[in-house]
Order: sequence, then structure tokens, then C-alpha cells
Amino acid sequence: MIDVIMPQMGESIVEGTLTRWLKKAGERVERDEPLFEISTDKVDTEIPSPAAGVLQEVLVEEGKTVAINTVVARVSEEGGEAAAPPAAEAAAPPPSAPPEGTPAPAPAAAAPPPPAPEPQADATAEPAPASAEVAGPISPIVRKMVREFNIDLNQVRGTGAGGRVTKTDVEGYMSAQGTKTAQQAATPQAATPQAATPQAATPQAAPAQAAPAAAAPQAQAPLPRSEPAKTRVEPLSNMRQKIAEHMIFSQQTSAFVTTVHKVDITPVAKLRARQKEQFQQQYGFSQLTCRLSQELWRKRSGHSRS
Amino acid sequence: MRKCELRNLGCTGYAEAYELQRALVERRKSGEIPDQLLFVEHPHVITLGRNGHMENLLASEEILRRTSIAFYESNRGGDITYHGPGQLVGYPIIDLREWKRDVGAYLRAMEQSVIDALSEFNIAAVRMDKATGVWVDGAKICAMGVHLSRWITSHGFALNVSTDLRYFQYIVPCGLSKPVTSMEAAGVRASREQVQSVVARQLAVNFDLEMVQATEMGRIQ
Repeated sequence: MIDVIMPQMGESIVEGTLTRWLKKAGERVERDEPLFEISTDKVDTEIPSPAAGVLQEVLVEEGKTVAINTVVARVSEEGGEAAAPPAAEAAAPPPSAPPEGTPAPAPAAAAPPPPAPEPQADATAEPAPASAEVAGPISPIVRKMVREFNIDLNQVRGTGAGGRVTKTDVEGYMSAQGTKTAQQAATPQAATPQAATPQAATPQAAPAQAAPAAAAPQAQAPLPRSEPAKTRVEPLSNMRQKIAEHMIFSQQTSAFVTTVHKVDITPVAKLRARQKEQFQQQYGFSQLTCRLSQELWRKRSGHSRS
Repeated sequence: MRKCELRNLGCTGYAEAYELQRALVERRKSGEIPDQLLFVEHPHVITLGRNGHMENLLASEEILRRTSIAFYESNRGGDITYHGPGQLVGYPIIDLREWKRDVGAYLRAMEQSVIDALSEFNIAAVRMDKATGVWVDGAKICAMGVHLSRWITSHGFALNVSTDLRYFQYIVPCGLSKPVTSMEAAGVRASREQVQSVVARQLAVNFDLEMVQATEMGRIQ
């Protein structure tokens, strides 16, 4: 089942209005055949179907405005049976992350043409998955130690956040293994995709990214890929976007002033010492200072304060 | 710079120009032809865009018939508008994938082209936030409405050169109760050819196009 999403038609465009469905639920569509129309500003755009198949669910009604990346419909691919009449929900479903492989909507220059979320679509944004992944990113020091001492990270228990392997973990592993490190490396449990054969002693078994040299004469353990931490780019929700805009606007249009006054608060401290039994637990020093400062400020000037 | 073929369609009915645009968009999609810029003058016609509301049509069928105003529903964005003699209508058919995949940027650049063209005639025109089009002293001098298919644009803009503004009484243009104006109303007498030439040049500048005269004169078979 392919998700059909509201595309982003420009850099600062965060939503679109679905003006017309060109196909009905249950109808067959060809790939790239116009499926629905959307409207932004004075532009009406035909959005083509990402796949050939049958339009199953229509999730957003005509006339509704939804955020970009909202799933507006689902198309079952070739061979799918036409579904029973859809439940056309009035409200927009929450925006879903685009299907695998499709980059999140970054600036318009990188935005792909109307949705093509096929699994075979170009996977430029996503690193090829390793079949035996170490939990979380590897810190540079760990990576260095692994290289130098030919450690199979899959053998090391990670005690860091999310099961990460930390420097301490590696040191602990090494001292526990002692001279058995080489033997352990010779029979790794899980192979990473880059390893040719686990037993092969040829240095070429190491993955392309691994630094050359520093390799011990013993059998090489497949080195983990130095891949970047797994990240997912999430577009700003409409509310966050607006908050950000307003914050910047406020910064740009309001005069920000910081004033500093030196005050001798010895009398305040004395007052507090006298009164502290009477105050409840939640009234602290800073509360009293604030209140007294407020009184002082009000008496001294007509400045507005909040 | 990308090549763009300029086609002067002269006086052509709305429906015919509509079909011509669709044919050109398909040929542009397949890469058969380069970007296109069509200039046309329509006989009296009121068109309804995809964001259109029929309540903004203030004339009955009877009146439309008596005044010989045609009526069409269009696949362009925008609400209701009027086209007629004295109005320079421009339809850029551009592949935005080769320029910018940004509909907002497209509209702004089209507005800017008209604004720059008008300044050559000493008309101080501006754009307005939330009101796409080109404005002079709070009155709309140029309306816009665009259709996009696979990032290929069609429809475009309608600049009032010497349009008979009385015809706008039959609609609430674009659903806004703001006045409309023309170059003539702004005190400028210029020939259609002059204005067309200046607008074409400004579009070329803003969209980085090299304008060439289309080899097939006017109509496409």
C-alpha cells in the first residue's frame, strides 16, 4: 500500500488545500496519472499518482487544508482488489514521516516532484543499512581503539545510553580478553556487509571507510562502519513554524534592553532572616527579592514591568 | 539561460487558447519543445478558477448573453476574473524544474516582471501580501492565476492596458472587493505591442530566458 502525501510546493509553503479529487475510491489509476488537485496561493496543481494500482482510501475531503506530508490517500499497488467504499474522514490525519528512502522535505531545491515514495526510489538521503549494526553512534575514541586493537564491536557489551559502546566498555572488554583478542576476532558472530569472508586474513576485507594500516598480522575482524549517527529530519510542525517566525519577528522589531542596578540587599537579607519562619516552604529568597525589587522599582520610576 | 519561444496569438477565444495551452504543456513535459510564452487578447469572457465561487459572479446568464460575455470554468488557481479587449493576457509555459520548484517564487517573479515593466511606463506598481497580483494605489492592475502539471506552468497573468473596466462590474474580481485599474486609467497611453515587448523582456530577465520568436506562427496544428 502506497501513501499519497500532500507535497511541498515551495520553500516556505507549509500546507495545501485539496481542491478536487480526479479519481474516486475504488478506481484504477496509472502511475503519474493526475490523482488530485491542490491549491496554494493562486496556483492550482495537479498531483500525479505515485504508483499504478487502485485508489483505496481517500483520507482528505475536497476543500480541506492540510499540512505538507499529510497522507491524503492510499493506493494499493498492482494486483490489489478494489476496496469497499472508503471512510472519508473529515479531519486531516497527523502528518506521517515519508515512506522509507524518501528524503524529508528540505528546502525547495531538493524537494522531489509530486510524491514518488517507492521503495526503489533514489536512496541518496539514507545510508545503506548494515545488517549487523552496533547500537547508536560510535565515538571517535572508540572507533580509534577498535581500529588499533582489531576489536569486533559486536562482542563488546555497550553500557552507554541506548546500549552504546563507550571507551570504558572497550577497555573493560580488552582487559577481560587479554591475549585472546586475536582469537575472538577470528570468529566474529555476525558479519557486517563489507566483510568478504570472516576468516579471510586479507587486509582488503576491511570496509572502504576504515583507515588502512595499523592492522595486526592476525586475522582481521570486520571493522564496524564509521557511519554517522542515525538521524531523521523532521519538518517543523505548523505551530512550531509559526512560533519560530514570531520569535524572530519579536527579536527583530523589539528593542531588547538589559539594565543592571547595584543594590545593597543587606536590609533584605535581615528582613528575610526575621521573617523566614512565617513564610511557607515554597517562598524562597529569590521570591522575596523579586517582590521587594518590584516595590522598589515601582516607587522609583514609571517604567512598565511585567 | 534557457530558450523560450514567444507566440503572439492575437485575438483568440478562451477555449481555443485553453486547449492550445494543454497541448503545449504536454509537449513541454516530453521535452519536445522549450519553454513558451503566449500573448493573447480574449473576447469578453469571465472565467472561474479552481478556488472560484459562483457567488462572485454578479451577472445573470441573461445579462451575460446580452452583453456577449462568455463564461468558462478553468483549471487555473485563483477565483473569478474577466478578460477582454484591451487586456494583455500572458501565458508562460515554463518547466519550473529547470528554474525553481517553488510556486511562491514563481508568482513573485511573475509579479516582479509586471512591476518592472510598468515602471518603464512610469507607473509605480507594487505587490501586496496575501493578494497575489500587481497593484497601483490600492487598485488591481494585473491579475494572476496559474495551473501546474508536473511542474509545468500554464495560464498566467492578465494586465489591463486599455481594458474597458466597466465589465468588471459583473464580478467580484478574485473575491476581493477592491477596485481594478488599467494603464490607461493610470494616465498612460501605450500600444499593446509596446507593452507586450516590455513585459516579455522583463519576464526574460526574471526567469533567465532567451526569448526567440516561435517558428510556427501563432497556431499549432
